[in-house]
Amino acid sequence: MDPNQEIENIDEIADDAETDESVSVDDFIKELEAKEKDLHITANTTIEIAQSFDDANLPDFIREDLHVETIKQVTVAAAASAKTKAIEASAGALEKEIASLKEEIARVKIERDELFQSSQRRSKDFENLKSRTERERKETFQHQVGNLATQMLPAIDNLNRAVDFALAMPEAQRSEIQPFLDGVVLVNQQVNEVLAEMGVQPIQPVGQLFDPRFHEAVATEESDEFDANTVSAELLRGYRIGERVIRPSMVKVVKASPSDQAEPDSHETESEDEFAAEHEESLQHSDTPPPDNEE
Amino acid sequence: MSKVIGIDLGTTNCCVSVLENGTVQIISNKEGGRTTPSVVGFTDKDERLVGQIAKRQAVTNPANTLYAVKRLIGRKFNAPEVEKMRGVVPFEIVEAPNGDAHIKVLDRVYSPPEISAIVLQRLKLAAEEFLGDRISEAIITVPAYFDDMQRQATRDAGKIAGLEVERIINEPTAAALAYGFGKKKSEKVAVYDLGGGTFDISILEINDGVFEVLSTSGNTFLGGEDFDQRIIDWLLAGFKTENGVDLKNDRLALQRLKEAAERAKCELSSLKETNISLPFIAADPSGPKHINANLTREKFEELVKDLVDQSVEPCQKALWDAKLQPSDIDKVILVGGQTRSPIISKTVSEVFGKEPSSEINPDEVVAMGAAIQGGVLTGDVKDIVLLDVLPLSLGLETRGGLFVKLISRNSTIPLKNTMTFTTVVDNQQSVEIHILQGEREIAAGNRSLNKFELVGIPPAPRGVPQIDVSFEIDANGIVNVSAQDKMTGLEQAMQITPSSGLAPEEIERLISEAESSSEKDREERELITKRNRLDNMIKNARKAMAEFGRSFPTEEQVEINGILNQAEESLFTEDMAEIELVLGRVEEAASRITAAMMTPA
Repeated sequence: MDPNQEIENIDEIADDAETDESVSVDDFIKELEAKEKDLHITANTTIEIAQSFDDANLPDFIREDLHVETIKQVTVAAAASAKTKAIEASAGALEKEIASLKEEIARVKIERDELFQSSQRRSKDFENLKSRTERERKETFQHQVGNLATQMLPAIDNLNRAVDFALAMPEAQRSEIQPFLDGVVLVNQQVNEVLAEMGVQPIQPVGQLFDPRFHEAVATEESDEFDANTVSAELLRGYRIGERVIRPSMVKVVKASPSDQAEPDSHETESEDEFAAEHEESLQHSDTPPPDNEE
Repeated sequence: MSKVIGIDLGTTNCCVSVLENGTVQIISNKEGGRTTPSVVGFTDKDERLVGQIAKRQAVTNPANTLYAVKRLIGRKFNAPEVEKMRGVVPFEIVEAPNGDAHIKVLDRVYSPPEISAIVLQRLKLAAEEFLGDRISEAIITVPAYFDDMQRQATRDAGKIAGLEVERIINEPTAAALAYGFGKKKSEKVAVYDLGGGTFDISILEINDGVFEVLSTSGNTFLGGEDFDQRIIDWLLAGFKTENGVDLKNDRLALQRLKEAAERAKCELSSLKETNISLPFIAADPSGPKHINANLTREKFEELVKDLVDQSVEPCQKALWDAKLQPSDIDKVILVGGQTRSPIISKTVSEVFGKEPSSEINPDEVVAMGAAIQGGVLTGDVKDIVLLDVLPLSLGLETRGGLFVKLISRNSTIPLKNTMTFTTVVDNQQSVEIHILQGEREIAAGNRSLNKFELVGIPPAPRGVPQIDVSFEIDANGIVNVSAQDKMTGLEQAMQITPSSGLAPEEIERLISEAESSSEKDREERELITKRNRLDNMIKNARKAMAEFGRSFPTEEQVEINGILNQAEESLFTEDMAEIELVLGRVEEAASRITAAMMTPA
């Protein structure tokens, strides 16, 4: 069907109406309706548009009409599909959002758990640190005194040694420096008093059972005077503050008599015994002056 | 999750540390030391002494004072290292029925892990006191060259001490961790470790959390003690020339010399010259003799030059083995107290062409790294992942005594690998699967782990049967080996646990033993605490009595003094119940005194 053909028909109808001016409007409408019937044009009649129709051949008005129509249709269709699409899209988006929120929750949960755990750990660490600091604070004074004493001890040892040597000098020699020596002895005493005031006490090992918490064994020897495993001589004075040893005494320990001990460790001891015989008096810090070892 | 402590279980010294508030803390022992000598002493009174205290009684008790047990752990009695040690230590090393090196003390035989466990237990106790919490997990470090047996034995030692060893990591790896390695990609690090008695050089390649040991070398009998000895010898020689007196046999003089030498060595790390002053070191009829010597750094370096040089060759060998040039090394780390000497860093920078790093205390850096790894496991450290790698290749013996690797070293574990083998002679009905570990191509040169036989292979010409052998290592480093004849589906499998080392039930027994002895330790500690408290209370009460006692009627004064006298007598009892009883009485008396002090006379 050629659309132009039909449109031409419609033009004819219009022309007729225009030419017959005397007829009333109502009549004209009736007439028109009759003609419409003849023409089989009703409100229901649709204009079929060939698949192959050519836009270029359309009259302008219809082209406009059609254009509007198509746009409308397109927009309606588009609107419809857009609507479903939008719903779909929004559903999708919501789903996505839910998923991402879920993810977020999971992540936050993990994060929270981690933070919780780490805060727990931290607070435990802190509590522990606090109580330890408190403990350490109490010990700090002792520590400081201990450290100071440890640094001072070698000098004090040497002062002791000097006094011991002088005291062990032969009478004739010693008398020359006696007043000086007396002074030094007093200084030595003073130093020991200061130590005692700071709570630093000498360890008195001789005759005690050897105890490695307080004594450091430097040598072993046989002895008739002392029992096995007791300290027979102090080679270097040790000190403690309360129970805390700041330096163990260096001692000689009586070894079990050969009958008690299957394997005497000969190489460890013999030479020390010689040494002991030579130097013992001079190295012991006895309260009474040791006898002269000259001659 | 409770803390995981990091332990550097050294040949001469141990160090324990833990991550706290994001920083690594070194845990001091009871005696206040930041490191603990790896020495255990057994007394005839069934006491076990550890650390400094054990060291102090070594002279009186040499046969029962054990040290350097790390040289024995996980080794066979006839291993060269063990043989060398047997010649120098005063305690008795014996061969266990399974061929392991064990130690006989006071008529009881101990395995090396048991001895190490005694030290570990002490470290654990110190850590528990430090943290105020029970500790049950630890990371322990071992030298990079330790094989599976030695690592397993170290793990066993931890178990016996009541510690689940979460990871065994290499000492150089731990040092690198402490220096913050493992975050960036691909770096090569050399770790120069000169400890008290051993020298190790390791070259690591670090890639995305995998710490690969490219090569190791060293000298197991070179250490800081040798450096001290050089100073002592120099002083001895000088004294002899000057005074004609030989101090070599004078134990006390030697002890003083040793301490002075060590101090001088330390001072020369920062000073150009130091004075060694040992007044009254000896005496002869002519009078007292003193040592007063100036030691310059230059002289010291001359004295120890050959020792330092002995460490150069292993470094070059390690580079060679790793197929690297010195310029390939990104960083050199110094470990071990002896590396504080400037001559060491100078020599190291000559070898590697760059200044070595030593910002972290070289005595503590390994333990710190272990603690960081502990932090990784508890989640306190997040930016490092340390993957476990197989320390040495695993494989089996094939025809002609050759070693075929199934899993090569530095592979990250867990993993599995399968290879197909065949028969060597016609109609061979069984094959022996001999599992070894090591890098040598000759099987006999590697460490034999175990062997088993796959029997029942149908008769066939040689080369026809196909036998799949699979090695599988799980996350705990446990190796499973299976062999399957493809045709018959016949399979034989085994787990590599001791043909040496300790059997699981033995470990269980030792754990319970160790627990009871640690219980004993705990009780003893409690006793001491109570005793100290009692002592203090008595003293305070006496003081108060002296001042306010007069406000009591005479008989009450006598009664209170009687209680105090009695308490003083009970002060040194070993009986906890008695101490508690007396403590209660003194407390009661003390509150009466306090009450009297409050009411004006």
